[in-house]
Amino acid sequence: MKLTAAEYQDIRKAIASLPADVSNDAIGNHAPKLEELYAPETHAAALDPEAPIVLGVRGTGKSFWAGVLGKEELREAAATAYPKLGLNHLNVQFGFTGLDSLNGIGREKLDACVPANAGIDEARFFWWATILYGLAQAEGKQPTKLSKLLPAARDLEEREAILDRHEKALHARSRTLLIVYDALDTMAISWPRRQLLTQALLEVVWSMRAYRAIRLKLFLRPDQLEDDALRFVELPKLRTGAVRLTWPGTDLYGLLFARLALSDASVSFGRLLESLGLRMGSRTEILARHWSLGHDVSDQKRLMTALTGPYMADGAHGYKKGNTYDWPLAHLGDAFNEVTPRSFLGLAIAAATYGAAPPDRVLTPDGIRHGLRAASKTRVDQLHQEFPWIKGVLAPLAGLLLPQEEKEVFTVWRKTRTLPNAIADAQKEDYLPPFPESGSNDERSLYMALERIGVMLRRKDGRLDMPDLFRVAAKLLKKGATAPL
Amino acid sequence: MAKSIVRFDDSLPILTEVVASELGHETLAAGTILRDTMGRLAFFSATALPEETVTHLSIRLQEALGAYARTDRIVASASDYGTAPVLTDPLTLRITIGPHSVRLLDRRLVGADWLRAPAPPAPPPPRFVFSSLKGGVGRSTALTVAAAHLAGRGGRVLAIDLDMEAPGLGSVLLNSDTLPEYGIIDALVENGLTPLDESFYADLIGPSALGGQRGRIDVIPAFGRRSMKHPADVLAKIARAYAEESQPDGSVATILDQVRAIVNHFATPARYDAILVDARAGLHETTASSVLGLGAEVLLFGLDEPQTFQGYAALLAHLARFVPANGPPPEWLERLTMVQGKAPLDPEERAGFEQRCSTLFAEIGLGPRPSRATREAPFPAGPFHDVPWDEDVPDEEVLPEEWGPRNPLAVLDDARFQRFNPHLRRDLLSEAVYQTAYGALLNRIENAVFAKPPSNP
Repeated sequence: MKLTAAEYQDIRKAIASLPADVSNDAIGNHAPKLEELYAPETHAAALDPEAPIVLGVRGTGKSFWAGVLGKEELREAAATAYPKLGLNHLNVQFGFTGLDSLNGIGREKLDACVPANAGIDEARFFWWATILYGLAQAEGKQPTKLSKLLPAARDLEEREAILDRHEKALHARSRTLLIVYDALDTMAISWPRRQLLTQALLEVVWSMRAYRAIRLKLFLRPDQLEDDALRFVELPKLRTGAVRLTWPGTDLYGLLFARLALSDASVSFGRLLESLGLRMGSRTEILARHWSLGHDVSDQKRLMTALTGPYMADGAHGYKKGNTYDWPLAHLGDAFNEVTPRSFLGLAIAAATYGAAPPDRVLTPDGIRHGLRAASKTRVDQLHQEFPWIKGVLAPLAGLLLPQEEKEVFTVWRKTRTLPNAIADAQKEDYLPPFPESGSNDERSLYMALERIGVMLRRKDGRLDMPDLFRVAAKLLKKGATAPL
Repeated sequence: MAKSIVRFDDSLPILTEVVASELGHETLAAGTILRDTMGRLAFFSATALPEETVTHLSIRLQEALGAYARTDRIVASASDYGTAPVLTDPLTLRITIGPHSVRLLDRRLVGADWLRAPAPPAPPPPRFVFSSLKGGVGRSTALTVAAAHLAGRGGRVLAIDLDMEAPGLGSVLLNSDTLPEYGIIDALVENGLTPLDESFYADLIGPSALGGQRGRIDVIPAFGRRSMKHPADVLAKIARAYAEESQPDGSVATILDQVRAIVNHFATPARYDAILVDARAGLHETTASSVLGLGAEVLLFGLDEPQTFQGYAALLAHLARFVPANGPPPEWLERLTMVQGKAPLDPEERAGFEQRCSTLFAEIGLGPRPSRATREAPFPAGPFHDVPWDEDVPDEEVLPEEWGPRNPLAVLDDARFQRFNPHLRRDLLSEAVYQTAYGALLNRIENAVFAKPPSNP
């Protein structure tokens, strides 16, 4: 029972029109929506109210999950996906969202409370105030100004009295108040201030560990927690206990297939599944992970084979080019071997618009290969939102043969004046430069900045290398004049 | 300054420099360098050279090359008697010496099989050569597990032991009841005297009990029952086995030709789904046949240690000479796969081996080639924080180059498979036990053996 060419095209069109851009703010216009909710098994630990620190690189869904926790309707849906976490006993408030509008707390409100020359104590008081703010909000009292809570935050005894009172009240009602901190990379535009604020917040998280009914949850980028400049004796414990948000290949395919199952092409897609002896899933089944295509690798591979053919080339020796299921995952990884949903979906979308629609399948190997190009751009654009210097630093490396001795890499940057350009541009455009200014502002620091965010890596033999994902991007950036090496 | 003695490795670069300086690059590239069995060099020009040029060049070469100059006719002109056959000899290699691309005719007493370009892929059934430079890297065990795995899937497998210096497959896969009368060694000795007939071929094969009930494993051991009965004659047979064989038509069949003929005899899809060959990839004459001559997928086993990379560097650098200078990657490159034996469980640790392999292949000229020699670095166009994308670059300039060997595989270290005797411990050949250590390798082999059609099921 083969599908008709029209049915294949139907599925192809559905892939082509998938929204590539998933929500990336916890609140506001870009907050998550119910139909976007997909709940991989591996993300349960990140949503667990007991886990105070969740790490994730750009695009892994930190703000998405922060937003889901913050909205009752979504939290209830998530509770069906993760029934053990007790998400339906939660009250959720935000301690930081990066946005000053609505009830959010962003850099402006922070700056109003913590003067530019403030020390660690002031920073700590601010974070205490965000907790008191959350408690007040949860009580449904008249909205208080954050700055009005600073005196109570400074007064240890008063602060503890408030916390204890709420702890008891919540406990009596079997409720837990979760205060969520997101977009924490936006809280400062200088390295020393960001380090000060991060450290103060981590100290407050540590102090709060004894409260059972008032929990904090920080969604953080790994490089922010791993910053060597943080000085706090309990830091190793927080780092070790941190949960990492990642997207294993199975979850990425699960996401893609779930989107198809709930798309306009669900009838054709259902027919394809039927022809393989696979079952279609409803929204509830998919959310509760009662659908094999969300987690069963062999079912996923069979479906991918039906969508694209088994191998990255046709013919008797096509198998040597690798199989279509593994190829995207192998080429989309960053230096930590992590793939983000957006680059994965970006590849699929680009593959579905490449060339003429084949009559006997949905995507072609050439289309998938071409899709890497789109995914590569997507990934760098994504990083660019947090690291505006990334493109300028990558572009000069386009012609470099990799892996390469560090000396050669550094020479390329030196000859193109990349380092001074990056620092000057950051100052002019008011963004965080690649690394904290210090005595050793050299190309090595630039490399280290790229290594921290998974764009470059050092191989076992000591040479520097770059994952395919970023090599492709470097070659895709527009080049101007050249410098002789 | 005393003139240093010219050694083998110096000789070719010296000759190419002298000839290029006297006759120019084009004449050097068009002619053929003959290296005789002793290693002495001569230059055969494809264009006619004036008498005085020949004399002058001969004197210069004699001075420069010392013992590595041929004693007679160090320079031959196109018009000279005997030049034409040298210039058209099919065994000529094109190789690169420094800046020069030259043609080399390498006359060898032994090792002539190494001068033949890798054979094109054999028709089905697929062939896998399990080879290693040294023993003890888990090569024969891997072959046994693979054979049992394929048989368990209903496959019909022929396992051939070409490792005559250190045979092992026969004793693992067969027992005294199933050992056939003859082995590969006998085939190579007998075929020099009389053509092999069906009854001889039939007596080369013993069935292995490890085939289970679902599939079949046939085995051609290195030595058969006869050799076991007359062990004193084994060395005498080995001496004869390596002899070249004169064909009725007057041509000479090297050991590569002979081995290939034997394998071809059995390799029909009607009889087998897969041919697994156990072979040394030592740098010896006999190993050329298995690496180059069978049109097989070649698995190069090795441990993660310097000797592995040194040894394979010699083998692979030689193969790199068959790669055309600016052409597409040769098809056979995709049939070479490094396999890390006794690999650590930690993928981080295995990454070191993979990286060393890719470096080895790249440095030797068998990896992705630099797209262009870049002696300049580009500035980004546009403001630093907002470099625009260039939509006009074609795919082939940005997408990863897919030329090079396939990714290395790992066979994980598993103590249960040391001193492997599957007859005493049949449980080792149950899938649950071997899958962890051998999964990646088996997956690769299975993909080729039971290849799915590209269309939808």
